[in-house]
Amino acid sequence: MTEPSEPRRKRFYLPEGDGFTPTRLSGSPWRGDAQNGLALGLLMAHTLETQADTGGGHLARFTLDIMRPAMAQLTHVNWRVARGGRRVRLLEGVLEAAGETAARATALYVSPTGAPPPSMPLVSPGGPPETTTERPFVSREAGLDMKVVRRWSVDASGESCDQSVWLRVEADIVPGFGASPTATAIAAADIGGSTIRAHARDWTYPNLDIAVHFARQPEGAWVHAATRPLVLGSGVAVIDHRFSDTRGAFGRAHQTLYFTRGARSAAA
Amino acid sequence: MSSFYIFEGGLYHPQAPATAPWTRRHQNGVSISGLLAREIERVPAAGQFQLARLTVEMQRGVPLAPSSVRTTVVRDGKRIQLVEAELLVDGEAYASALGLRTLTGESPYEAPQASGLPLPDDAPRDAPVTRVLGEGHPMQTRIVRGARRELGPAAYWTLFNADLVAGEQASPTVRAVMSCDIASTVSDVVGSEWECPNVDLSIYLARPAQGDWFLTDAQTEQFGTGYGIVSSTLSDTVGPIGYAHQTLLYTHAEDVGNRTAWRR
Repeated sequence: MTEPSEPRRKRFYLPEGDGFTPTRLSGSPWRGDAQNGLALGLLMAHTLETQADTGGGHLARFTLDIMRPAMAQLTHVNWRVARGGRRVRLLEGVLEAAGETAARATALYVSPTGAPPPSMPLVSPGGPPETTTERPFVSREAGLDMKVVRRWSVDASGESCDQSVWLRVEADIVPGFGASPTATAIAAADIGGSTIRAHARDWTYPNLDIAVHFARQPEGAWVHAATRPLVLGSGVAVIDHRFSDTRGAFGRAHQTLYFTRGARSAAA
Repeated sequence: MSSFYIFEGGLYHPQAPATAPWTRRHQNGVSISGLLAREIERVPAAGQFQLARLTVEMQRGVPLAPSSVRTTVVRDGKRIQLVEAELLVDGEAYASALGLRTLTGESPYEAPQASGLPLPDDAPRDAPVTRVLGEGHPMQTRIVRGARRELGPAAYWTLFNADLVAGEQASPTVRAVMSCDIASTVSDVVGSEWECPNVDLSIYLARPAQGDWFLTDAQTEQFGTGYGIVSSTLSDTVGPIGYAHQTLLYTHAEDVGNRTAWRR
């Protein structure tokens, strides 16, 4: 669940009736009148955890499709059970901004009846985050606290990655509710565009989606993302994230980035 | 050439290669994901579109019976299209997929890291993923990392010797989608005491697949919670093209009647 927090922190949204009004933190870096994908992911996660009928299972997959720019106006989210089985439950969420459907999401919950012993030990990705050198590359104005651990290195599994980051969400999603570990993971899935910043002079590449696959539920405030881009010249790129918390790996995530020529133009 | 389906009278009739090894009464995930991907690819679009993401939901068995597919364009645009496809038997939906399609265009290129694994011609011909998926089988496989009776990460090449739908060759991207559904079998980490069907299949592609052989380099992670994920890197003979994931839900074999012999 998203977590109750101290009052008077920055927040991404303010509640208004049965909807949410985005604050400045939710602004898009690509166009001034729209919300950013990270904020949309956090709002979907918050409403999923506080409003949806998840059946008490474990979140195994979360997928968000950003269908058009979500205007920075009153926003509503509705979740429904699309398929409700005893062991598998699929939820569908729709986000409307300014009266238009701007994003839709699916959340797959599983309820296991038994479990084999763990097949592998958990290996911490290094840190802990409090001891790493702080080198934020996304401003704290974005509501995040990010620390680059190392770049162009390898992650805990020994695989290469282009970026290695600890991330936590400093701001509340709505007043009084900070980001849960799951919501933080969903937010972390949105930061991969920074791995290909060198292209930002000539290209606009907002993400069309984010998807997170959970092998277990994350714990704690910090998420570690070891990130690799796959940029193959066909108009899109896929960002691959390997996620860990301070205990070890818990999942994988991806973003699809869509390229158009020119910096900071409207996409899609 | 044999086929997974024959299209006749407006319905797809599943053939022997489409039979699920678990029950013999259902269609297998290879066929289901391939047919849904094919239908999404066939939806008209305003230009040359490519499949960028496919999320297949497979939460219950699809009967081995004549089937139809219903597609709905959820979002249509000049550059981006979101299409939902449902696999129906007797008008009831048993599986579905959501496909994100994008207009193929120019963008930067960064040389990907090569897998370092042997190409299919250099791969052992006597090392299929299961004992039946060898030379000449409609779905032919060659393991190049790990081994059939060995727990842990594994990689295999796949070639299809059968049409998905009789009389037409499926696109390389559709065949790449089909090839990765068996990743959970070859990268198993718990052994045959546990049944672990995948309840979904998600694929993320940075470019369209090319050629006839597709490499799936798979690793399963499960931490004793009763579920887990298979993570695969997908390649063709040119290089990496994307990633795939499957959610596994574990059930002790005694609880379902031991049906896992096929996995080895």
